[in-house]
Amino acid sequence: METSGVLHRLRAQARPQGVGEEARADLASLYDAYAGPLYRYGLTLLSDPDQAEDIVQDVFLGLLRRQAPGPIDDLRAYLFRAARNAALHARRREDRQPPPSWVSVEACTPSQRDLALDLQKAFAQLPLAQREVVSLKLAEDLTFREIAQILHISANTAASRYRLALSRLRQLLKGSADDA
Amino acid sequence: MPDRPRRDLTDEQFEHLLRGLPRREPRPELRERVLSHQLPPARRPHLVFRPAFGVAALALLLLADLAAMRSQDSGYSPGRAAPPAAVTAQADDDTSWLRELGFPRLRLAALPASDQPNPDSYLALRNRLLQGANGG
Repeated sequence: METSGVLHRLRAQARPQGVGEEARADLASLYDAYAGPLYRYGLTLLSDPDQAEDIVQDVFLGLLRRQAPGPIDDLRAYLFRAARNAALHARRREDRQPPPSWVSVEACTPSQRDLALDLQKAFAQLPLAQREVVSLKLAEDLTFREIAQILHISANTAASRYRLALSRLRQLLKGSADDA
Repeated sequence: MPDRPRRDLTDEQFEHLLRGLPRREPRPELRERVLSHQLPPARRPHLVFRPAFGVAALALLLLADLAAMRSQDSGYSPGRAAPPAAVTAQADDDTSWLRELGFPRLRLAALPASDQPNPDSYLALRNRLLQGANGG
């Protein structure tokens, strides 16, 4: 997606009374590309789906209100970082519950359901830093380099966190399967 | 693959299994909520320019004020000679009774009443004042 032109048009057409037709189409294309990933990432950090939706909304409106000069080099990394900042800020204000994973248990087939429920429990036992990497890697299929940009860490650290998290998940899921 | 015991899976198969699970999505209402949200007004001029606009506006006001003052002054001075000193002194002398009544700083402005310097104009005024003072 050619994002700099989209952002330029969006800001140029921003009016207090609402969005023009062309700007609305641009915003819709951005939303369709990024809302799902941002929502799932928000869920990784927060326990409340409503809050995760609020984060998505805040990120898009924040993008339109952006006053900083200069273009955004990597829009996806920018949006994920904005979602991360907003979610971590919200986490400080709330009592933290175990976060749900990126998986929708309701949408699972009967054969996937047990695995999804076990994954939910296992995922909640991972430290936040590992949950973030696992969610961005497995749900959004980002590279370690892209994950590193979002989290301000090195690509090696991202890969190492991912391997540790996956190993821990396997261990926990194996235990659940043996219990069952 | 979910039917296969999880402990028998390789790392790659385990990853593949997790990737195959359906993902959560935000509710459809959120899309409309974001798209229909009112946007902020277009960006205002940069902060650096606002003081410059203020200074320019102030300078324009001062220039306009100066021009108005000069225009008013020109109605009095050009082509109108000041009344003779004797006339001014006479005027002060004639209105001395006003100062005696308790207005020590009161002076009569001795300006010509027409474009041509004409002491008669002042004298007519003087006479009217004196008539007024005498109850005329």
